[in-house]
Amino acid sequence: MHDLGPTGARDGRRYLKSLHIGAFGAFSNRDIGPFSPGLNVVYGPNESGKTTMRKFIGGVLFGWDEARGDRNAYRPAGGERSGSLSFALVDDESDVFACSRARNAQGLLPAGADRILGGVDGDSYNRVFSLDGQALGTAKDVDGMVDRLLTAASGGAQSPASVASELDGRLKACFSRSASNPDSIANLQRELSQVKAGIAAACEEDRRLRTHAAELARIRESIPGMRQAIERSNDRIGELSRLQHVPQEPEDGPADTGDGFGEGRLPGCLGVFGPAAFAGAAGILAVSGVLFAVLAVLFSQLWMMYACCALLCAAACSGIAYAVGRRGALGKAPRHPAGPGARGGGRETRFGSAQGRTGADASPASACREPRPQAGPAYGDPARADALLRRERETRDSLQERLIAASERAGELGRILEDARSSVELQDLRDRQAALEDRLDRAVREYAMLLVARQALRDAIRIWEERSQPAVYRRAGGLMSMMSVGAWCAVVPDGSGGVLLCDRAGVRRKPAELSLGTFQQLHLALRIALLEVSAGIGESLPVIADEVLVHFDDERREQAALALADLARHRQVLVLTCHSDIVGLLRRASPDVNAVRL
Amino acid sequence: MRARTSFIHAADLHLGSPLKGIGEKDPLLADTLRRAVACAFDRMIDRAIDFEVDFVLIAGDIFDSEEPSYADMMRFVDGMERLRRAGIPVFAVTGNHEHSSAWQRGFASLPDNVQVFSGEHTEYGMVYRDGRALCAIVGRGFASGPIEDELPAMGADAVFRACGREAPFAVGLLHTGLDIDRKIAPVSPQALRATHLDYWALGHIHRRCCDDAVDPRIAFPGCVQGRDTGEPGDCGCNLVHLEEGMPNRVEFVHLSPVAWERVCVDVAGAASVLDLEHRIARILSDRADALRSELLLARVVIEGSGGLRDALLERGVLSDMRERLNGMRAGFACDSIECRVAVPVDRNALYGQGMFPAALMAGLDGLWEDRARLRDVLAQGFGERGLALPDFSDDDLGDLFDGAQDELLAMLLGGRHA
Repeated sequence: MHDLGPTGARDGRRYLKSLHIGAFGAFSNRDIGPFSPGLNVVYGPNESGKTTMRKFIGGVLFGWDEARGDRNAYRPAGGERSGSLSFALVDDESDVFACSRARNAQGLLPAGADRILGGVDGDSYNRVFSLDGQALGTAKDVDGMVDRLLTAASGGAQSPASVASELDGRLKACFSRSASNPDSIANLQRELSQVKAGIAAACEEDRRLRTHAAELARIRESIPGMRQAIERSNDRIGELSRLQHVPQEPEDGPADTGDGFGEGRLPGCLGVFGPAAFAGAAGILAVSGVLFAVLAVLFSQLWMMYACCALLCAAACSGIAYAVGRRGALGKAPRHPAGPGARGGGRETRFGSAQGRTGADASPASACREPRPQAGPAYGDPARADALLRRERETRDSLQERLIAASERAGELGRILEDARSSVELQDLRDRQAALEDRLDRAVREYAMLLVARQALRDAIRIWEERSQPAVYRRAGGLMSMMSVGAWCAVVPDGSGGVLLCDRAGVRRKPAELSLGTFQQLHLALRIALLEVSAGIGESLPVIADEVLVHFDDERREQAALALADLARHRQVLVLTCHSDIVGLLRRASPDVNAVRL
Repeated sequence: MRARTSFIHAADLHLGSPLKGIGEKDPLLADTLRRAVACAFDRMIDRAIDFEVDFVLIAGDIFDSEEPSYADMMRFVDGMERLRRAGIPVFAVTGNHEHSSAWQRGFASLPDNVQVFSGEHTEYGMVYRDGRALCAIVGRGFASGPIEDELPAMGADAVFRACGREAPFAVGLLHTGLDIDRKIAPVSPQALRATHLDYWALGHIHRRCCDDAVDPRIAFPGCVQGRDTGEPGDCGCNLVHLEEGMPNRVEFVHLSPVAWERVCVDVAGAASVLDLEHRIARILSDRADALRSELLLARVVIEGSGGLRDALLERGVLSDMRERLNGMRAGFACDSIECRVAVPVDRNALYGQGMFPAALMAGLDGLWEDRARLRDVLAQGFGERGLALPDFSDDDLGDLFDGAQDELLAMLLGGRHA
């Protein structure tokens, strides 16, 4: 059941009642008809417009042919093609609906008029509805003919077999490794695998950053300690340097150099006294001298004055002796660290031994364990003091080198980690992975959809072969038997989408092995069978048979006329011919035949 | 005077996560998309500082993986350091994406204002203001074990006892699927309400929802940035206001720079591909205007039935359309454009035509009715290629079936395939 369409035309099966050629080919402003809903014969001499009429009907319904190569597009001189078709209800011929076409771009007018087509497209109409004696004789693509015909009536563009073949091709392409198919599952899987490897490598590199970060933290922790160690070492170096210049007090008297006139000693027997003795004596004499001076003043005694002067002189001499002795000791003390050959002349620095550690230590922290001077007996060997100072300096230099190296390493690690903060490499790889996984998901779903489609098609082909195809072949076989007067009795599928024709002896022949006449009969039989089985498809469209009986002998022609008359009981049939005997043939086949003369 | 507190409740940051589902990344958008998740996180920190909140709660899935990258880890540490300088404490729990503690021993230590609750047992924290206890926090990191066992230790009284003092408020923090996703640490809303905490800050469900619109006590803030069409629209976090004796007030704080949407456009009425393109542009523009995110990233699906199907499926048509739409720089971009336009055919009529399409419809019906056979067909087809069969749901099967039907009708009745 159909709703009232936008044209307002009533529901029901219609038929082509008449046509008006506005301009088409050599004809203009011409009316042809009326036609009846059943069998019609349109006859006229050559050049009377029979084929033009057939082309015109197809052009109005499905669009004018474009002029390509030698094809006749039926363009009128100096104008555009135009015209209309009038369809009447089978049940009420007064109810007429007209559709027309001017330019192809405008489509079939009025809007909604394409409902008259009943789902049939142009290709199907030309293959099944618009029969042409010339086309019936074309043997090309014989094997696919039946398949196409079997789907053609529903507006099919491809046969089930060719669709199945195409689906197989697309399923196979899902796993193509060709570079021209980047979205194949195989290529996407390969690319994804590469990206994942890249991510693994980037993650490994990222893990190394953890080691770098830990190392940087350790270095930063150790640097203050290293600086402090260097400071302490510098302090010890300063201290060591100062203490090397202090003269040593002999514990058991002055050292004897063997020349009787030791350096810094007073001459003669005065040398037995040390500088301290002279200092003490000077002090006592000075105090005594002052005392006598006071007494002299008090008692005005001259002898007391003399005594005061003598005491003061003696104090002065003692002081001079002390100074001489002291200067002698200082003058012999080395002022700078001496080399290995230097000798302190037996003097000792009042200093404990310094047990410094000068050996290198790999760990910056352990370098902080700087040498600590120990209190102990004073050194008596300047060479040893030099060695200590040297070791301490070496230790300090080593610490400084390690501090520099640590700072440089900290700077290097800091730059690496700073760059890593803004690095997008890992993120980009993860983004690519996500994109590839999405494409792969779609490709997998496409593959799954094609699997479902292929299975559904296989099921449909099986159903078609079990239910519908036999009906078509059975009817086609019956028509062949009728048209061949029993010479051929059955049409059977060949198992690969084609057909075989069986004779009464059971011999099966391929269509290509048949005579032209028999081949055309087979073609006609299949089309008539198809149209009868698909009664609901394009029910309002006229079946046009343009000189389809020319290659038939008399007997087969008569039978074919009966077949067409039989078809006309279900559909409108227009037989176009220039042969008056065919007109007579059709009148005998169907007394109700409507004749239209051009 | 009634005590008050306000805090940020965020969850599912997924630092390091890519925006998924982007078929072909437009190079002009690459930077925006790459930085989207990190940008949302930075905005969360900004808002916490701008709003001068008392504390921040992060309910899990801070990172997208157990082993976050150095860049992601340092971004998080830097964010926490900014909050530390602003005097804002942070309480966090781990989620199912980064439930081990390994990441916490990663590149750097978290600042001392951050407390990450263990996944092994319930832990507690306390927020102070002006030297006084303001809000007790209780929580547990993600663990596969049942949360119900821990609830007695999460009741209000138990919380204050564990903290050694009372406070005006007590808030819970968990990463859980609640009763929405029972595969991830499920717990019933009723059980949480029975703890009598003032608010449960939850994470894991990537859409914003709560138990009560008037006085929300259990809430998911959703993720801070959607990563595919399954996480559509503006995303962000919650700004929660608690006041003694008053209903809780929860405000949405928008954070996401990119908003995902799946946009369906009907082909009906479009006179040409260009006409359809203009229609898509208008729809996307209107949708973008309604969002707060700077960029609408749309996955466009063209549906319906019509004669434009063949034109749309011509090679390069959809990709060219996508490029032109993305070139408009109008606050939207297309991640992809998909054509699901059906063949313009009366399928009901096909049944009655008695020809092959009727057999096809019968075959399709039979296959759909026998879904077990349909799954067997898929299993066989995948097995032949050594492919793992995806776990197709019934809805997925329906989509596959509809696609197969459209494809077959298009191929048989005319028109090009995709």
